[in-house]
This record gives sequence, C-alpha cells and structure tokens, in this order.
Amino acid sequence: MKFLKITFFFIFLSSLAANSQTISKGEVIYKVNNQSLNIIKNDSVKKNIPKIKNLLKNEKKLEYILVFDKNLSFFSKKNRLENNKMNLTEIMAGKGSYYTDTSKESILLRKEAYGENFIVSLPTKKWQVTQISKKIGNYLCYKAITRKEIEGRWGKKILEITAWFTPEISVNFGPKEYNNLPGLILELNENGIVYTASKITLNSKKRLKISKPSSGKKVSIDEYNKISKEMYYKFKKSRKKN
Amino acid sequence: MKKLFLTFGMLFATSFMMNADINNKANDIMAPNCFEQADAISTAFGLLLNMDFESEFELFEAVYDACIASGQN
Repeated sequence: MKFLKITFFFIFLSSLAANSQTISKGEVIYKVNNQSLNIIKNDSVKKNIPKIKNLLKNEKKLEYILVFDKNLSFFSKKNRLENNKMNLTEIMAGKGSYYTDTSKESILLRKEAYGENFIVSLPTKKWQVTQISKKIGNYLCYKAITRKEIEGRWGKKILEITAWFTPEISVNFGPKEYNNLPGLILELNENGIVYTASKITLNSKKRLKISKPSSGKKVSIDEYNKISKEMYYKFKKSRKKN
Repeated sequence: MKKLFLTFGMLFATSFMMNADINNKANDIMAPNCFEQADAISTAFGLLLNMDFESEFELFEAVYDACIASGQN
C-alpha cells in the first residue's frame, strides 16, 4: 500500500513537471538568512564582544545567484560586501563557486584557499522526497532531505539538509552542490544557513555565463577536507610558537 | 594602640595587594593578545555552530586580522 502511495506521488510530481512550461535557461537570486545567529544573540557574553559584532555586520545583504540552462548551472556570491570583509554567515556558507553538469553527473567547486586555487569534485546528492508541502511565493513546494558529513575539531557529524523544491519549474538545480531533484530548489537549509529564492527569471533573452572551472589543483572532497584539517592544525601550531 | 595601628596597616597592605593581583588577572582576561582572542572566539563559535575545520580557520583569520587592524598585537 505504501509502495502504491509513493508511486502515485511520483506520478503526480512527474505530471506537474510535464505540465510546467519548457525552460531553456534561467536565473535565480537567493537571499541568505543565518538561523544560527539566534543562538549567538541569546548569549549576552558573545554579543558584547566587539570583534564578533563586526562579523555580524551586513548579514542581510548577502545574496547568491544561480544561473542555468538545460544541463549546466553556476552558483556563486552575487555581491561584494562592505570593504570586501567576510562576515559570519559567509564564512559558514563557504567560499567559492559551484559548476554543475547534470549530463555528466559532475559537480565542481572552485575556491581559493590556503594560498592556492582548488577545483574540488563533489558527489551527487541522494534525496529522500517527502509528501510534505508548502507554498513559497506562488509555487507549491515539496520537502526533500539529504545528509552531509562534516568534520571539525569536535569530531565528525552527519548534518541533515532540507530542501524545498517546486515541480512547477522543472529543472533539477539549486544552491551549492544541491541538485538532482524533480524541480528547482526554492529554499535550502544547510546547518542553519537558509537560502531562499527571492527573484526568479526564466527564459530571458539575457546571455548567461556558465564557465567550467579550468585552473586549479584538482582534488576530491575527501582530499580537500584532509588538507583543511592539516592546515588548521599547522597554522595554529605555527602562530602559537610566535 | 600601637598594635592596633600595626594590625590595621597590615590589613590595608594585604587587601591592597590582593586587589592589585585581581586587577592584573582581570586585565589578562579582558585584553588577551590577538592570537588568544581569535583562538577563543573561533573555538567557541566552532563548537556552537558546528563549524568544520575550514570555516573555523576562516573565522580565526577574520577575527585575528580585525584585531591586528585595531592596533593590538
């Protein structure tokens, strides 16, 4: 019975996608909200440290842009912040730009870190699609869940990532490396960082630039995480000596 | 009478020295160097917000740079 229900649900999603307009290209602006800041703001000690206050500036001005055509997408930060300084949300969201080619199941993250350029290859996400729905703007969205392993000085943790996608826009793209759903992701929550689509432009005449990253050290995500861990301890050790 | 004066004198000197010691320790906590400040802040945030090594590293650098730019060392 459960299998039958799920089958009907997927047939329903497919029919919604089939009825939606043909999309050859598009552009989505995502606004970012850091829900984790609520934890910090409740802590009066941390709130009063001036250095942290500086890092909390410009939180609401951070925007990202996703451009896509039939098989390719490019996701990156839209605007430069005041004095080009980073803020806490940007640090948590992560640097770099994401290039996705769904025809080759390839996701590449290009970023500058530790004095080098990297091209990090990322795995395609596997999703658990639910029947839970909500409206975002005029679009009916469904909830989907995936998982991601992260490692910090506290050890390893599995994070649950939540996405809300709409089958009404039948492209399988979204923020960062999150794609492969039967519709555009309009909202994504990754570790308290929430990306919400604020402007969607479909099939415009504007020429979109989607370029595959070419220059940089090619590494897998596991190799990159290993480098990050080594650099973290190396850096702290060297600064302590000074 | 002389004993009483001496006792009060000793008490005053002891409390003065204790206060000076507490003040010194408080200054250490309130104004650590930039490394200690950045380390303390990035560690606290890293734990509180599930930050991975890279994010904590970047937060450390951001706080450290802001501290140096403000004239501390």
